[in-house]
Amino acid sequence: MAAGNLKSTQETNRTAVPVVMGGPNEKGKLRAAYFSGTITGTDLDIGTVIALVRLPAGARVFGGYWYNSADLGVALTTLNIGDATVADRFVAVRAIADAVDGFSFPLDAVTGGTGGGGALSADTTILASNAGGVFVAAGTYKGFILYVLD
Amino acid sequence: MAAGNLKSDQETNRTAVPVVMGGSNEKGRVHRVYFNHTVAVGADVDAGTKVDLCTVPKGARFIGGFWYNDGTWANGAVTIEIGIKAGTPNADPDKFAKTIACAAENFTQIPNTAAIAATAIGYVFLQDEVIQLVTAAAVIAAGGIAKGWIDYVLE
Repeated sequence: MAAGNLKSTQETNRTAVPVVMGGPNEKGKLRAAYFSGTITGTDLDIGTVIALVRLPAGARVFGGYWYNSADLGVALTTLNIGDATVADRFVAVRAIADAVDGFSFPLDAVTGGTGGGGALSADTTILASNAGGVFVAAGTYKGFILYVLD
Repeated sequence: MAAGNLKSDQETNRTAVPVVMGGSNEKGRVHRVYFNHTVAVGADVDAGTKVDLCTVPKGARFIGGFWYNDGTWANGAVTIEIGIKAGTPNADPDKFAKTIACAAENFTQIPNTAAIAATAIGYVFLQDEVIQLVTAAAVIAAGGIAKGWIDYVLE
């Protein structure tokens, strides 16, 4: 064996004869969908879902940023960010506890694989949920989702 | 208690009847403004030195950035704050980053702490604003290189 010269799918397509055109969401404008909110209500047990933003079909999602105030959770509160199909597609069981937190995601190899660069087959609402612990009323959150569409 | 189904402000507005339109800086293109700087020989470089980095337009929504300095730029225990330029109406020297340690080659996300993110992420600029850094604790060094970028959404 010797050292190889390989190509990504996109470079294979670009250098093919004839050229194979890539999707519009593979090389385009980076967009951000901002979200913010305050926890309300009393039904805030594990499994509570927060609809964050709605993204269009075809959007290729590259992650985002999440911030929460210290009073959003309790000691056991953990956070998932995903969608109705995979609840932890972008963030899996992040321990936010009862402290201020702010982080870019995806955070690790697993969610990098499930959530880094996937294209949406339909209009999709991005969801946050508590995988452990409870949410607490009056806690605040904000952040954004990054995606390419065209 | 049971599990609830909540909505962000943006989802509340989107699903309202009639729909409440969001601001143009809530869902749109990401703009990235790049900056770089080399410390000139003979420049005043004591702690408290200010460097104007870039300008962000009125109405833009801040979503982050990155800071880089090489190993020469900070030849001691220099730390920096990044914020809105001193002497301007909305001046806030550590609006976007606080106490970034620059003593060695360094690449740091802006905002650099969750506490800073609390006010920085989603901040909407009230006028065209100059983003400025302020050094502390030590001098910066001639020939040192710094660069980075600020990201925002405007439309």
